[in-house]
Amino acid sequence: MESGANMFLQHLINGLSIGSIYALIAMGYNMVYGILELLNFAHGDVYAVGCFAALGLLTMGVHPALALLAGIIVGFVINLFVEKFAYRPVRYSGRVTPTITAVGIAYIMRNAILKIWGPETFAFDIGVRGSNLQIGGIIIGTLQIYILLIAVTCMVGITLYLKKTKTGQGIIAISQSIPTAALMGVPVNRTISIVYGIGGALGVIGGILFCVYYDSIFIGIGFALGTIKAWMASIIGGVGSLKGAVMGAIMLGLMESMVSGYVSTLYKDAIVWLLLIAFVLIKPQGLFPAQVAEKI
Amino acid sequence: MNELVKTEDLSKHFGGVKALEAVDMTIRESEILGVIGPNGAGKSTLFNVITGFYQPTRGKVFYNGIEVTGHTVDSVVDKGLARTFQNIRLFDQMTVLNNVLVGMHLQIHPGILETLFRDPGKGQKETEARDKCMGLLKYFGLEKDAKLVAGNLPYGKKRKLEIARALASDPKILLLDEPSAGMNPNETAELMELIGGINTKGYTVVVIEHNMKLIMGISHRIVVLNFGKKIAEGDPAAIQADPTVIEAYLGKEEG
Amino acid sequence: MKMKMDNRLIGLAAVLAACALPFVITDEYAIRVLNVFFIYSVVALSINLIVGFCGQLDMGRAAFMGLGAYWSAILAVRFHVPFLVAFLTAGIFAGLVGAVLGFLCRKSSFDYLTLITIGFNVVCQVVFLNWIPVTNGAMGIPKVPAPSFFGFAFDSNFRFYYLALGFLVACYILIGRITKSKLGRAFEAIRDDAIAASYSGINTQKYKILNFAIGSVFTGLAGALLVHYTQYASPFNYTLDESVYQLQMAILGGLGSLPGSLLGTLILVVAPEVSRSFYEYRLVFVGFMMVIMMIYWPNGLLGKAGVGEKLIGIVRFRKKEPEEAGR
Repeated sequence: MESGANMFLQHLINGLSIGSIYALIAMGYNMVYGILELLNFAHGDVYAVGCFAALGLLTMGVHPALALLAGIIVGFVINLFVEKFAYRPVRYSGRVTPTITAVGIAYIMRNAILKIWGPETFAFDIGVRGSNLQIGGIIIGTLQIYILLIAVTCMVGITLYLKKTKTGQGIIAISQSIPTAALMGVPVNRTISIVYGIGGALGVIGGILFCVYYDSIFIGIGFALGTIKAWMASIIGGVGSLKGAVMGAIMLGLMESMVSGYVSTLYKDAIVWLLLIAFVLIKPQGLFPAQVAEKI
Repeated sequence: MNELVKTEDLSKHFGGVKALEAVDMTIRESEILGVIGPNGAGKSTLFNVITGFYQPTRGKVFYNGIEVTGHTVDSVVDKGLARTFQNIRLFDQMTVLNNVLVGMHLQIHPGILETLFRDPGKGQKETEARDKCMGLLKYFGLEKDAKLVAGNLPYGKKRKLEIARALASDPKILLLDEPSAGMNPNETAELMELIGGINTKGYTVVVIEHNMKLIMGISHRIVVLNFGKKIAEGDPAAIQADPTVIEAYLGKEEG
Repeated sequence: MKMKMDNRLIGLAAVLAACALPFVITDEYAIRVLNVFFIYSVVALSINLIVGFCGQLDMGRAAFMGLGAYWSAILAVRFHVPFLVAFLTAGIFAGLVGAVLGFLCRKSSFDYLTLITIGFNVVCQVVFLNWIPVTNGAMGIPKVPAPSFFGFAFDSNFRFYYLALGFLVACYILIGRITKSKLGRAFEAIRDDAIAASYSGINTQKYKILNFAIGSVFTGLAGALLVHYTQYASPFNYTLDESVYQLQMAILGGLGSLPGSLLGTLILVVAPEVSRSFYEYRLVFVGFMMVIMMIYWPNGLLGKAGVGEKLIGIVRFRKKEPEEAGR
């Protein structure tokens, strides 16, 4: 039926848009995860600080391009800072300890934002009004196209960076084995810092796109809509691989869009979580896991 | 002599890498079997596959005539195997005594009621177990350290503790993975005596080693691996004279 | 064995002192706070069992409190089931759910398990809030009867104090017995090195499920008891933030230390009552606590080589023996 197909395509497009935003956030998350294999609990809350910094500058009348750039830099720098002073000291202290540290950072960041801005939702106006294209029976926003383009550019950029630059190769080396990379002369501390920084920056970009898409920003964009989505994407796509993160994120976006459209928006979160728990049962490593054999 | 363990065409591939390929070998009762080979020859992989940590790509493993291919580690261990690890795997936050008690896990069977409603440490099986473990610690000279946290022990004692824990399960076969790593000649000599003593008590011992002096000194029989394949098998004299073995090591002798 | 005797005497003295306390401190408000402390201590002990002794990082414990609470509330209010039955079956229910969840995650890595527990917390929250025919949604379930059995009703703060104290003592002893037994050793072995544990004959999957289930029984019981005290089941009490706060109770005291769980809970229950600003900023405080503690005192106050031990070390300067594990 004509309108049924249109509705499906509409959900598909929406799912792809939101999925590509999630993909950026998940990429940033997985870069860090791939190295230290720790749930970076604070990923979302840290980049949320960057987004709110951008908001602050926007409301002060700073030119949107500068405000957004500043937000990205803030995200980058805060992650560097947090990595150096909170994560590095516990880097080799097992699994529970560093995870808890990240939880602590998340709560500190979250509450800093709450104290300064409060729990309300604010408009996120970057002075660009998207228009809508109508193709057949479906509506595509130019904003959606831009988001897709930006997301793809970032993903391609990161992939090239990892493949072609010395630091990028260092990052790959570290994600396979830190001691070996160190022996090969990779500056471990500096490289890990950069990974955290890039992860934070990607997160801020994703967060900003999210805020622009919905023209709003609130405290939840960090943890609830960022960190948790990154986790969900990892569950689907597989842990430890960037490709997995991106594929997982896009599938997540599509899943959410479909559930929202065809089932219920109210129970959307719960249903998606249940689907994920089911996923864990059937394919615990995700769809595209990084291949690692355990050695004892 | 009774064949306790037998492998048939045992192979383990990781992607394109053939870590083990068509290995047929046996472990005979009461012997000390040495397993040697250059780095990456597949020695630890052999242990891993025999004990069920890795599932073989091809081939079978038999324990006392019963096929155990595909069994989980805890199931294989229940049949009478125990092992130590190349990189020492102790329960770092538990006491020395508790480490050994965990080794006795399959031997102690308190009921749920006994656990909940009786003071642990007073139950009969628990007391007997503790006594046995203290006895083991004494044999290794660790009884004074019983209450210390295992992670704080010096390296040499950690190695001994690992062996003590393995013996606590009263295994038929003890698998030692490079037990002399990091030891000086004195400690190595002590280790050789220890292994000999354990064997005299009736345990079958399989030792992976790089230290030739140790292996040649204690083994009844040696199996040589290279590139995942078994290239030689025999008593120490025969192995030392075997040209294939010499070639594999390019004339390098360590230890 | 002198160490053991000392500990038992201290424990007995503490319980006797606690029994006498309400006659000294007669302030109703203080008694209320202590009642809440007793119940949350059991939650902290259950977290200690799961996270501290077995290394399974569960960040959604509050969900199990909620499961126990709603089970008991619904049975008591809608079906007029007597307290003891509702209460005890609530624990069993929570334990069964824990077993199922543990079974589903039996092959999951450390991280996936944590993620699933978070997801489970979120799912439970949504269910509590939206499954109106069963949970009454945002309105919650009021008029949950106060505990009563054998004809005796614990319907005052004073009376409840002794019920809660008894509950804590019983749970403390049971969990203590578990941790000192073969079961507890198996849990710890899995925490320290799951591979070596399996080589000691431990079926790690089975024991992890068992650990999760047993811990959840205690969490469920605590949730049920609390709801019979507050006499109102609310869907807003079992959030992720709550779970993290509860987790910190166990961490602060020291994972692996049972007395530590009591101390950590005491601090985190009393502090927000005593200080308005602590209450307002409690999540930030917990955040800072987590970061600072993990760097400087990962074993918490009373854990091995924790802050407490360091202080005692300074006091017992004439101690010549090497560091003892003391358990």
